[in-house]
Amino acid sequence: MIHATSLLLRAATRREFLLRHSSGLVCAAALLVGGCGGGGGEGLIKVGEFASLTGKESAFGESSHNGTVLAVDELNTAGGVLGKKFKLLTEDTQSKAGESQTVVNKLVSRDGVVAVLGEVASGRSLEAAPVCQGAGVPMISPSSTNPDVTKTGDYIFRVCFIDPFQGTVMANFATKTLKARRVALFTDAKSDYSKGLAKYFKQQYLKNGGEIVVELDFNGGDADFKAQLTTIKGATPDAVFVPGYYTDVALICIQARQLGLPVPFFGGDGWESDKLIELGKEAVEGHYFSTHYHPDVASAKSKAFVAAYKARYGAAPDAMAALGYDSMMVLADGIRRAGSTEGSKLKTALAATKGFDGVTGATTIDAERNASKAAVILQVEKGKFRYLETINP
Amino acid sequence: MLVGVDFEPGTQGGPFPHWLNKRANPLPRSCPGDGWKVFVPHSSASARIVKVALCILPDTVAAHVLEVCDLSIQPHRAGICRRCWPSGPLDPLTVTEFLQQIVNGLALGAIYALIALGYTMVYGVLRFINFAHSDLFMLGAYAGALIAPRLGTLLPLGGVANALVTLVLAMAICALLGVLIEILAYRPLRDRPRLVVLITAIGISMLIEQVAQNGRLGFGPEVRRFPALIPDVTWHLGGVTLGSTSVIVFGVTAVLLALLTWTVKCTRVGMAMRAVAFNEKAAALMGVNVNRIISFTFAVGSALAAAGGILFALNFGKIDPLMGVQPGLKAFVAAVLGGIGNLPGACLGGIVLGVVESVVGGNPRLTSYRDAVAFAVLILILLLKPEGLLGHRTKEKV
Amino acid sequence: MKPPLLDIRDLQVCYGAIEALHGISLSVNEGEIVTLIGGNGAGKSTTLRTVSGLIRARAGGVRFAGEDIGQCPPHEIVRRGLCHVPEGRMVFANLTVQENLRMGAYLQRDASVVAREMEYVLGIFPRLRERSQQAAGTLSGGEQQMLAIGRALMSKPRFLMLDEPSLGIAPLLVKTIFEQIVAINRDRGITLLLVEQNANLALEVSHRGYVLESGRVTLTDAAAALRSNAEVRKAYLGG
Repeated sequence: MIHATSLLLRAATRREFLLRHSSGLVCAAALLVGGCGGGGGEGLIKVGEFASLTGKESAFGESSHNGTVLAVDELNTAGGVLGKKFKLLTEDTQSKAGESQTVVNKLVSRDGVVAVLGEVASGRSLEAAPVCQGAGVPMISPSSTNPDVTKTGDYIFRVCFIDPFQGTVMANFATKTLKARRVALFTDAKSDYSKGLAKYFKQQYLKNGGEIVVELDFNGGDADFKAQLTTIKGATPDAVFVPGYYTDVALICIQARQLGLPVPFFGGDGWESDKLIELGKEAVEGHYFSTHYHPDVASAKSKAFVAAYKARYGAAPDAMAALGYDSMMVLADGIRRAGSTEGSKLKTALAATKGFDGVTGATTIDAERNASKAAVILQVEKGKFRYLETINP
Repeated sequence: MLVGVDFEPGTQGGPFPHWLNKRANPLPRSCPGDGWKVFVPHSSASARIVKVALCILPDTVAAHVLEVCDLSIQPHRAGICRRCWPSGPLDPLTVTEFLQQIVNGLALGAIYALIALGYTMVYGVLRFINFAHSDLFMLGAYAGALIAPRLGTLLPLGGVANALVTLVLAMAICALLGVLIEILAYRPLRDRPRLVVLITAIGISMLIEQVAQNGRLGFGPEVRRFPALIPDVTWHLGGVTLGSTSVIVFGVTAVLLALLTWTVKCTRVGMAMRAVAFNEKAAALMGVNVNRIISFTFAVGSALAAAGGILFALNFGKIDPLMGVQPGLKAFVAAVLGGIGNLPGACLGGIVLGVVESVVGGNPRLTSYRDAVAFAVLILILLLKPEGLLGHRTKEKV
Repeated sequence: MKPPLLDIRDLQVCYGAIEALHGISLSVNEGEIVTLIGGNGAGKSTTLRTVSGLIRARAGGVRFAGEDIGQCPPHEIVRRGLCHVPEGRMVFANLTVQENLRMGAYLQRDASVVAREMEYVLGIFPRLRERSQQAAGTLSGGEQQMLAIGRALMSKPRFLMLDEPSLGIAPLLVKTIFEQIVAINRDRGITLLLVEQNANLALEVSHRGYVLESGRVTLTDAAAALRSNAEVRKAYLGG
């Protein structure tokens, strides 16, 4: 059945390819006379996606891209929306600062997409949001958690929780589950996400009566963290909060172990990637992090998604894949309710999303265009992520 | 850091920047806990210096400083009163911690030293900063990552032997690459002004980086794991931890320094290199094949870069196409710091830079500036002693 | 009649767009001492540099020991036995006196030969022996000249070219140097081509001479004849 679907898809893409080219010729002719309209001619709805397919956070981009593509294919198989099928245009941000603005500009102005999906990393979403806002093109971030992203404007949405919530979750986890009274804070100075999450964690943790014994930072991409870890060790914390990305966290855990710092490390959804275990190996065993989703979470939608994802990609999905999938589904739902792909109508429909049954849970877009979602806490055990608990907002 | 420095009435203290003032505020009188109180019966200038020094140094060292300056210390009890400290509690920096930072710094510095050796050697002979050096560093690491697993299947060698063979092969590959770059890009520009070749070097560096990041032509930009070729043992010596890989890096750097120095000072080829360094034309008139000596220099420099790359990768366990940029820049600073063209100077510069970076990095107030420190050092050394720590102002007799 | 050891025919050399040598021809027979005299910018140093391979000629041929060396790189020419002591000496200031001499013997692999030559050179220039471990940059001008010549001798050349050996050197030392020049020609049979501003001294020790003016050979004769030539005396020998 999958084989037949893929054959159908390939045929569909071939037809779309011809259609696109013929529309291109028509457009070229039209250019000579007038302008060439974008948005989606010839029965196609163009949706733009920007993700870090390569680079430091490539695992995130690949996951969310896989989820999004699965959603697009499922939607197209079911006939699309408003009688039109979707065409996904993907751009690579290479995990680099500055790239997002460039590629989203291209998607919005040159490719004429009706909406933009992306990015996982808050810093890169923040870069692109003003572009979408200025062009009146709705943007849905699958998993950027820094609150400033949606503050950019009323065309910017997200389908995940935000860092004030995540920070609170981890602060409560530290106090209640880890029973840590003294925590060291180790932040990625180059990442808006990391700085934001650290701030909210600290707020709640101090409210819980905990003590931040020392605050240090590192630069994402660094290799040596021993200087800071030595100071952290000297401050004798009960646990260390590292709200960073998986590449750096892996090395930090390795070097902490080398220096003889046996306390638990914990962090946020930036940890979630198989690369964390690939790079960190035994050093990351036993540490904790919060994220949006885990395949073991019970729900009919989730089980169906996991099965479809496994069948197509041969591996279980992670939170980024699930959110990538949900972001596309929410967009399709919004288009259906708006009855149009026109920017302002679409944004109004998206803002009215209520109780959408997503893979990652019931998604309601609130007044700040954020989603109020539960968080799950995972622990690294025997080279896999073990599901511990769900925390509801 | 000392907490609560009191100054005797009649002495002056400020003005200081905001963060410094916070550290030097006196303890409240009602402090029920421990704390140090220091009385400074000197004039304002020295009081200022003492205040700054006490804020940066670890406690026990600061105590010694105070003794030496003949200032009286009246501790209530050993330790720091955490509750009374206005800005936030901080445990005292013990001697152990300071020593650990020094050890960290030496390990980091050894890597900078190894990379700096390559920079300085090429500069010493050719008066030319090879900006592609950091990329040969990266290529060496990737060569090692690609060779090591295949080597394991071809030859049944033990771990250490495998590592050594990988190292030698990677050095050989990069030596060839370095010579290739020299012949294709630098040699045709031999008679042009220095600036032209320098810019070409930058261009080659960017070219290699871009190609390496490309998914189809190169390795792709994602971070990869470097295979652990040698077991990493951690030794605990009285509270200070030392990794076996760091010791190996140190050892290899020392061996290479000795080897290079011997080559340059005692062998025929080394003498030819020194002659070419001084005057290419005069060397040619002695029968020296200058092109061959230059190629040899690049080969050696590139091999050193590869060694640095593999040791860096062994130490940190990860490689990516841009891994050479930051360490390369720091190593360049180290080479200039020690005296560019001076082999032991490069090693000294690397060590100094590593230690400074570690000590600054471990200080919670200064940690954000630890990369800036490296470049501040560069500017300082160029202003105060441009020939570097071990360099000489060259005088020539006509 | 044996062909000349060094045979230059119609040599044209240019520095960029400026032609420095307009097709000069000269020759040096084995065992001779020949001097090139002429004013500043006449092209004397250019001639030597072209012969030793530092500059490539635009046209014309240079034959050494019957073979064309016009396309050879400098180190190859040294290997064939032609040594050039350049203008300004160019000793390696960063190397010691002894190391400079060893550099001279760079192509000589046999250590005993090198040792023997070293003894010979230090014998004819005793002042160098006193300073053998000193850096060459600390030597006086005259000592550096001796070092440069000694360095050239280390490779046991057949043919030696000296560019302005007396420039900036005290007269007493100049006398010593020129005495040695004669000695090496006599005792070792080394052929010499001298370029000298001090035309008097050079012509005294030479067999033949050439006069170069603005990149052209204007006169050639036996040294004694040149010394008594009225025009030459007026222009180059101080009347």
